[in-house]
Amino acid sequence: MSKTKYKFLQIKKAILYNELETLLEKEARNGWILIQFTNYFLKFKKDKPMNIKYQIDFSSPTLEYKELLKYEGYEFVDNNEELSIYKNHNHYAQELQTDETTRLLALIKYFSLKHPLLYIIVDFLFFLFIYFFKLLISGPKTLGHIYETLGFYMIYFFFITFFVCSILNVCQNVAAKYSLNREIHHKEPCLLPFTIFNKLYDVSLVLILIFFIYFFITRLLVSPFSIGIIVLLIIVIYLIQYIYKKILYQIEPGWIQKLLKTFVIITCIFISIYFSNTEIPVIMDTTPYMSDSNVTPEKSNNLLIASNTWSLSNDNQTDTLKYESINSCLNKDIALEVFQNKIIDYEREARMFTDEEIEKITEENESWSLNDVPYFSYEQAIQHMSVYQNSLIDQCYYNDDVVIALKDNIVLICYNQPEDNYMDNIINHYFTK
Amino acid sequence: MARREFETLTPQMFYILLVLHKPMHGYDIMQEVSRITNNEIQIGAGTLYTLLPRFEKEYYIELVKEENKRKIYQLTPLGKKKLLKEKDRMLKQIQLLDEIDKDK
Repeated sequence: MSKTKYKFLQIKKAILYNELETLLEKEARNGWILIQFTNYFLKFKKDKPMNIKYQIDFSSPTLEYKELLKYEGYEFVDNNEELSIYKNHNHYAQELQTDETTRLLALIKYFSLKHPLLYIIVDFLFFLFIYFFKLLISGPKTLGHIYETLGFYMIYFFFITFFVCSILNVCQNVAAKYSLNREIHHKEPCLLPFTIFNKLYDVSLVLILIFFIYFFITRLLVSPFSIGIIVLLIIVIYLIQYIYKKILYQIEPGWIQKLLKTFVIITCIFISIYFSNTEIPVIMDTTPYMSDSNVTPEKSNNLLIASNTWSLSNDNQTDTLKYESINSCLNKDIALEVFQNKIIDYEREARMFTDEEIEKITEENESWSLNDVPYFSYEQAIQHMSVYQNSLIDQCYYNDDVVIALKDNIVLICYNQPEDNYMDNIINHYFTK
Repeated sequence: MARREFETLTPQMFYILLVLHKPMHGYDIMQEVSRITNNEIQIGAGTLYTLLPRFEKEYYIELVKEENKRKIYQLTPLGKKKLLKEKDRMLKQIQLLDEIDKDK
């Protein structure tokens, strides 16, 4: 089996700085022959040292063009969208680009704004999708709330980073075009703005990578089964990318190519939307306190908090009749923040108006909003709740509807379960080892 | 930018348009330019196939027919006008050069 190696290289930057061909020729002289490339990686195969001439090209690879290149001794190596790399074993072969102005014009077209602008639109559509499906969350602006809903904040983080990344991509392409236009008009190239935007673009890509690592780890913690879904998703995206970037550019351009491209983009959007909304059911291995066959279990993990929840709804699934949630936090500090946040949240819930009251207010004031019931601070909130003391736990507050308990890094929330000795029973159930 | 791309023709652009006064496909264009310039101007395949669609877009050349998957192009009246404009520009340059020579 022949040896291969990968080299990290920003293709766009290398092309703008006119360094790609020189680098590939140097690698070939050391016996590393290019076999594939993407926007960030070059893949080489080990062979005997050779004196190869490499040329980059942006022309549509029509049959006529391919034949002409073959006649001149050029072999196709690989392509990534409209950028193709050819090699020739005759180092004195005719250059593919013999006119500097034409080369610069082709480069200006390569630094197109079409793709980055398309990404911005796709990002915006995803955001609208999430907004309309009411995945946006509301709650008190506490640290505990952020810890609890880290997954949602990470999705915001992804959308914002992706948006910034696309904007930076537009900026770096505009900066590249500016520099190339200067060259066309026989002025000194101005590469500094491109270099700055390029560096910032890289940082934003690293942030997106962090999101995907986070997403992968949290899914792994919830269920190994979900990893199968993620792997499947990666394979589908890779195949789509492969079709879009490789195969489509190697067939005759025309309306079929345009149609296929549109189809691939639409498919990609729909598959991503489908998977982004997929919830994987998880079989629970812990029993809840409440005993009812219709209890719905749910497990989630956001790296800071692993939650087991059980809920019992009415027949129409509109109201939660009973609810239990045991949250295992990363450390005591996070647990305390989550505990305090829950108290703030449920204390407000107790002050929430009934449907009749809302109707009355609406009639009087013509409008009503959730913001009319403000969140209290933690200190104010505990004044409106009762204290329960038990040696098994650190802290516990309750009211008519809810019990919220804290023990080390564990937070327990039990909702709507009035019965005799309920407090003792539930604390014993969860905290007696 | 597109409208200003061919404000001034480079020698390669000029010769491609020049040889297309009769219908020709890509490879013939490259050969013909080498022949009439005694190999002084060589057109690279990448340069030629970057320029042909752009010239077509500007209506300087048109696709006459396709034979064995080879596209055959020919100069349009607009392309001829562009060449004549280029001729005027070059004549002006020569005239200026002559005037400098006379002064000497």
